[in-house]
Amino acid sequence: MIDKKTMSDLIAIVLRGGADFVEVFAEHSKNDVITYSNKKIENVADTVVSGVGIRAFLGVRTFFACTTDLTPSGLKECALRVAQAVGGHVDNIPEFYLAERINPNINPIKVLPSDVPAKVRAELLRSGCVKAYDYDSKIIQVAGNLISYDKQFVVANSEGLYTGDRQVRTRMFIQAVASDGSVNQVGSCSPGRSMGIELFDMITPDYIGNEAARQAMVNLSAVPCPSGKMAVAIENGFGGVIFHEACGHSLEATSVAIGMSQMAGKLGQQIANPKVTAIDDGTIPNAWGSCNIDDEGNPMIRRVLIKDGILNSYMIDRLGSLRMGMPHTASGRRQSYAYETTSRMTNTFIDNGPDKNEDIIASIDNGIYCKAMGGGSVNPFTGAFNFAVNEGYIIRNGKICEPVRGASLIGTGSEVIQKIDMVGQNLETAQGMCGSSSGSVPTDVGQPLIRVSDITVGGQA
Amino acid sequence: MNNTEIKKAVAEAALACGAEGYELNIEAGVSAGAEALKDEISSVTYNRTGAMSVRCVKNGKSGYASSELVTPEAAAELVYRACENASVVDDPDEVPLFEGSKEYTIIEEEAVVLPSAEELIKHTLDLQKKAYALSDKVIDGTQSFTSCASEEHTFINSAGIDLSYESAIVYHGVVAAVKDGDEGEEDYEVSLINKKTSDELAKEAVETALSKLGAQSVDSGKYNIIMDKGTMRSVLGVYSSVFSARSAFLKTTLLAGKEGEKVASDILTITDDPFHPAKFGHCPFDAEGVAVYKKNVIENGVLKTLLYNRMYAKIFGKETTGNASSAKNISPKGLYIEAGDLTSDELLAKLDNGIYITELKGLHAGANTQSGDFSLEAAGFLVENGKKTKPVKNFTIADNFFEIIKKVAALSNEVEFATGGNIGSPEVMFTDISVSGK
Repeated sequence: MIDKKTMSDLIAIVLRGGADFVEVFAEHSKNDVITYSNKKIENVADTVVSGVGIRAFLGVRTFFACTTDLTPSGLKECALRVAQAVGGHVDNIPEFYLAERINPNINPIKVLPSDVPAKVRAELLRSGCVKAYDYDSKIIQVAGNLISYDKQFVVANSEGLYTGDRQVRTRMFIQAVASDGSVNQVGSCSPGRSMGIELFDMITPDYIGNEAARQAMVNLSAVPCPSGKMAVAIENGFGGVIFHEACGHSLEATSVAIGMSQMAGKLGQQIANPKVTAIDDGTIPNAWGSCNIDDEGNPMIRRVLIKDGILNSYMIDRLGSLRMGMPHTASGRRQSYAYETTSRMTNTFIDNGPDKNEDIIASIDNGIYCKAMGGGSVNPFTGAFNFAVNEGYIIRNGKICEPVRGASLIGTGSEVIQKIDMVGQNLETAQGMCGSSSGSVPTDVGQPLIRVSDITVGGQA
Repeated sequence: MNNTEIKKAVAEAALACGAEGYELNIEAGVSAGAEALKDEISSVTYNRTGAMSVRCVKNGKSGYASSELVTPEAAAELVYRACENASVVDDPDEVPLFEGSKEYTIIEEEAVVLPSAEELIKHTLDLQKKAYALSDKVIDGTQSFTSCASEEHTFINSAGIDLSYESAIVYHGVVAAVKDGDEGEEDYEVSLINKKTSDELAKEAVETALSKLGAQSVDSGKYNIIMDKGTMRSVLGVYSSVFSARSAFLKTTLLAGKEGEKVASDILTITDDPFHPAKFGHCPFDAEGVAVYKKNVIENGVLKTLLYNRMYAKIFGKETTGNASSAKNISPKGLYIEAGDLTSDELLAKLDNGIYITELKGLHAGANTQSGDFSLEAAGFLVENGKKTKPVKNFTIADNFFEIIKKVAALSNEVEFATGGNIGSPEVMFTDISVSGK
């Protein structure tokens, strides 16, 4: 990675172009992927992500360049491109010096994945996948991968900041396909943490394989989901994707700062049922979305987004802070040096509420129990969101009945968070990769069991 | 970066490691762009990117490694890592490295000159201004951009292949945000810069956004629908893996073992053509160095062939179709639904009553390629008596891909590919689709 003196020189080049603020982000990361397919360890690959991104501000205009050419001339060209785009010329730039800040570590790593031979890691993956095959003879295919991320970066800026982070993450993904000859159905399980290989002491590969196969078998016996408006109970863990999509993205400065969010201008207003308290907390030790610092170098914090239904905070990065005239919330994240940072979520969840889980199910006469959710998406401007149900059941007269498949839930964010009218007490989180303009970043979603009084369920029946 | 030194470093390291063979991909690219927000430029970018990836064959098995650091030292390191990775894989390779096709089709591309930063900025501001001028309902939040990129891709292997391909693209786009009272809508349009003028693009984005205002949900039920070119392309794109021989081998596509059988409507023909003139980019070789070519995947409803690389061709006793992508994967090179003979208006007349779909969301999660089931958030227009009437939104369409290809009722007469994309389609009419709304 490039040294402090070089970073300082690059900042100076861009300041001479007339920028108000300059930031240099240097990254050298390594990602390893082991792939299992058709009863074999099929592929082992690793990727080095290495480069420098330079960003400058002039007011709220941003100028960005990145390069993988780390030679002195390649780096200088990158900085000059930014300076030229800023377009001015300043002879006497303000004095600055880079002073390193060393951050406390909230994500201790016990067993660094790259120190564990690939052969040993491959056997962990194989054992989980074999477990999925063993679950039932109708499991016809199991695919899995074991991914290890080791992201290392240094960020420096014209305010004298010089700091960095090393983010190690481990995740196993297993997908099982169950077939009765004419119909194929899928189940999957994919836990991850900001941890090393010790993750699998906590969540065993056997559990992951079993869970994927169990879900595939449930879906194989499932009937097409009914469609129309009805009440739904959404289970904990990945169920929290409803908040992530329906509300979380609309609270990011990325859309709020330019007025392209349904939630713009609503701080202090009652936007959700008083039972809803929602939090984005990047400081949970070893959680998937936790970091010691954000990608702009700010120490990570916990943000209470919604308190008892009242909008309390947005998620704001440096540019958002300038545009909105509000302090940042350490929410700047980027997939890599090649993306411009923007405001993003970390570990985002609806907190435990007052309702008993059994009361939530018992309260629904005719609806769907969504035990496992898939991903979704949202348009923050209109608030229209959608997400897929990976494992669902009919609720009839307060009882969970037969499984249904092929359903999705859609609605408008501002409406649906008003309709979360029961909040249970079994908060749990689950892992996802969230996509936005600054690329794909690891985020946790979470919630306890909740009830949505009325939502459009899209099914084939 | 000098590729000769990289190639030499890889060859030497492979020899030192005792590798029997190797493949090397080198990519070098430059991209630049400008974005406008309100009446000024909000962002200017310039990116110089490089990447290389190595596959090494050792003791008959392949391992892979890649890096964005493109230096001779990094290249040698990749070879060592790839050889180490090969030792962990269970099975030996099915086929040796490819020695090269007899000939490669080279399409003379129109020369693309990348604009300067000043030109990008000027064009973007002009586009933004045009969008604002079209209606007083256009609001701040509307964004325009212009981007360009050029890339050189080199593929060599130790069996004697040395190929390269260069491409360049300039495109522009508008996200038009409009508001009427409390109701906001937006529309995103993008096109190659030489395909649509700024006036045309701005008009399309703003008019489409305006046309969505006042949209209501629809009554739940079964409908006949038309998917517009864009939505049909996204559906075909997500389900393109069902045509992969790898999926067939893994039994994760319901088309496995159905070559030669009727799987779709008589009027449906799906072709994979790397050289389709409406498509951007015409790389003459696939990831194994095999010459790519045009073939029908479905012809008048009959599954003619799946898409093969050399490995799965050998397993199934077929020839490769030149569809290798990275590692052991397979991807289409220009997959599109062949046009029919109806104009867009004639197609609407044929639909008579139903829904014209212009947006589908959530395809990454709500479309299952193994089962074929999908349930997707949709928006579009109600069609009454052969005419688009009211805008509609907040409903889902749900069905199964393997079923809807049997329910293709009519096709419009023009195929359009996504900007810079590999998938194309005309407008397609389907019968009897589940809609969940009010």
